[in-house]
Amino acid sequence: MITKKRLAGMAFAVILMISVIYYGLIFDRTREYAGEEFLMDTLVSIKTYGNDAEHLKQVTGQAFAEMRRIEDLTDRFAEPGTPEYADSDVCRINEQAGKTPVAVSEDVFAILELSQKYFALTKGAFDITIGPVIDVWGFGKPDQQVPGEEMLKNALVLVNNNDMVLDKQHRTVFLKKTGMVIDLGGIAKGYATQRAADILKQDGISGALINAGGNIRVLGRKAKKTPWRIGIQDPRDSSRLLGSVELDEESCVTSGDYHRYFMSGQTRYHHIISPYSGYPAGENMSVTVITKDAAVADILSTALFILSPQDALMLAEELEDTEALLVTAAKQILHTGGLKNKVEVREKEAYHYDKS
Amino acid sequence: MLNTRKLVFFSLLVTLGTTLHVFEAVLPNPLPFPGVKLGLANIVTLLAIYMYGLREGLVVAVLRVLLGSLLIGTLLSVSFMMSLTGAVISSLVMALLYKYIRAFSILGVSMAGAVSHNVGQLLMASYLIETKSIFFYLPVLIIVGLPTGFLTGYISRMLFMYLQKQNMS
Amino acid sequence: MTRADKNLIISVFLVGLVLYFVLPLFTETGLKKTQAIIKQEGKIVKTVPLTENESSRFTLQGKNGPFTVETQGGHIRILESTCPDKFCVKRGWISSPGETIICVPYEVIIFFDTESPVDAITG
Repeated sequence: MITKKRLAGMAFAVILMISVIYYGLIFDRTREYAGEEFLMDTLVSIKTYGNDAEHLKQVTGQAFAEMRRIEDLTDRFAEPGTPEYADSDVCRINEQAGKTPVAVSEDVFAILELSQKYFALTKGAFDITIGPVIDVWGFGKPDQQVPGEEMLKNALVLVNNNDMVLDKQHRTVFLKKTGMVIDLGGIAKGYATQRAADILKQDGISGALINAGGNIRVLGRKAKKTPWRIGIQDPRDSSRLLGSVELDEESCVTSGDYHRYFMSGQTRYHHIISPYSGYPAGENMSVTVITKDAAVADILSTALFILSPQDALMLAEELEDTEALLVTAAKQILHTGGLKNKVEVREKEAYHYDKS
Repeated sequence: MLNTRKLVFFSLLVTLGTTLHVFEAVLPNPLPFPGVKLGLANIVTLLAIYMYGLREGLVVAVLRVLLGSLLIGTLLSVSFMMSLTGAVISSLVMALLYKYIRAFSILGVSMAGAVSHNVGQLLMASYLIETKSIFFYLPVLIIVGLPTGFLTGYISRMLFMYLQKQNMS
Repeated sequence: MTRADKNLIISVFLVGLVLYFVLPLFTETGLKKTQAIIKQEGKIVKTVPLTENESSRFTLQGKNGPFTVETQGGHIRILESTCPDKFCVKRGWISSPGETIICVPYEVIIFFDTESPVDAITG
C-alpha cells in the first residue's frame, strides 16, 4: 500500500541514489597541470592530475628541479673550468680515468651500480664505458664520420665495464685505464624520469605522465579514469604510428635507429653503437621496452636494440615484469607474450605482423 | 532401408534439389545482401526429413550441394563451403525440431531451417574470409529467413499432402 | 500455422530487430580513421590514404578478373567488379570506421584502419 510515509521514503532513497551517482561518476573535480622544460637535450613534458591546482604546480616544479639536478650530475659534455664541469660527477670520473678513484653522489653511484648489474644481465650489450667509441664516431658534432678501423680498434680496447671499479663503502668510482670514458646517454634520462616520478607519487596526485623526449613514465590515471595509451612511432615514417600500447604505473622507452644518424653514401650510421663491434647495431630498427622502473626501461631499450631480435626477445621474456616490442631490420614486428592484449598494432603494408 | 521404391524416390529428390540449387544460383538477386536466396532447394531436404528421417535429410542436403556446385563450377570454392555449412546446419535443425518439438508445423520447421541456413553460411564466410565484420549482415539474413522459410514450408506442405494422397510416404 | 510457429516468427523477428540496432554498437566507431585497408585472401594488398580533398581510382586483380576501387575524400567504394554477384558494388560508399565492403567470391575486404587516441608518443 502506498502510504505517504512510504512515498516519502522512496523519494528520499531516490534522491540519495542520484546524488551518490552524480558525485561519484559525473562530477569530475580533477584538474590538470602541464609543464614543459628543455632538459637533457630534449623537451621534457610533465602532466599532472589532482584536485588542487596549486599543489600540482608546486610538485611539478619539484620534479623538474630534480631532473635538472640529475642532468647536472651526469652531463659528460660540460666545458672544463666551468661550474657545470665541477658539478658533473661524470666529467670528474672521466678526467681521472687511469689515475685515481673519484667520490660521487648517491644518485650517480646508484646509476653506475645499475649499469654494472645490467652489463652482466645483458652479457655486455649495455656498457656505459662505450664513451671512447662514441667519440670517434662524433655523433652530433660537425665532424661526425665513419671512423677508420685502426681508430675504432684502439677505442674498442677501452670499452669494458669490468674495468670500472665501484667501491660501495667509500662511494667511489675508478676507471682503470687511461682514456676510458663513461657515457650515461643510455640511462641518465630514464633515471631522471624515474626520480621525477618518485617525487610526483604524492598525496593529491591522482595521475601523471612524464615524457622526456620519448622516455615515458605514467602514474595513476588521467582525468577520465581510463588507462594511459602510448603511441609507438613508426621508425620509417615520422608522421605515423606503428601502433599503441596501454601503460599502467610503468615506464615505456624506445630506442631507434632514426633518432640520431648520418648518411654516408647509401648507408645509415646511427648513434646506438654496439660495444661488441664498435659499429651501429644493425639488426633492429626500433625497440620499445615496458617495465616499472624508467631507468631500467632506458637501459633495456638500448641493450635489446643491440642484441639480435631473437636474443632480445628471449631476454625480455626471462626478465620479470618486462615487456618489449621490436621492429627488426627486416621490417617484422615482434613482441613478448605479455603484450598480447595490451598492444594494438596498426595494419600496414610495410611491416609484417603475425597476430597469433 | 534399401527398398527400390525408396531408392528411386530418393534419387528424384536429389535430382530435384540439385536442379533447384543450380536454378537459384543463376537467378539475379533482388537485395544487395550475400546469401539472400529463396532457398527452394530446401524443399527437398524438408521432404526427405518428413518422409524418411534425419539421416536421409542430411544425405539429400549434402548431395544436392555437392552436385549443384559441381554443375555450376564452384566446387570447393568459398560459396560451396558456405552452402554446405548452411545446408548441413539447417538439416540438423529441421530434423531435430521435427522429431522433438511437435508443436511446430512444417512451416515453423522450415522457417527455423531457413534462418539457421543463413546463419550457418555467415559463420563459414566469416571463418574463411577472416573477418567479424560480415556479421553486419546477420540481422537482415535472420529476418529474411522467415518469409523464405515460410514459402518453402508452404510448398513442402502441399507436396507432402499430395504425396500422402498418392500413398507414397 | 500453429501457435508455436507464430511464436517462432515473433521471436526471430525480435532477435533480428534487436541485433540490427545492437550490432553497430559493438563495432568500434568514434575512433579516428587513418587510412583504408584492402585485404585479399587474408593478406593486406593495399593501404589507401584518405586525404580530404583527394580522390583516386585503381584496379586490382580478383580471382576471375579485375575490380576497381574508388576513393573520394574520406569515402571508399568498389566501383565495378567482375565477381559473379557484385554485392560489393551494390554496397556503395563506406565512410565510418566499422563499416566494411566484402566481396565473398574474391575474398576481398575493405575496411578502415583506426587508432585509439594516444596520450603521448614514444619512439
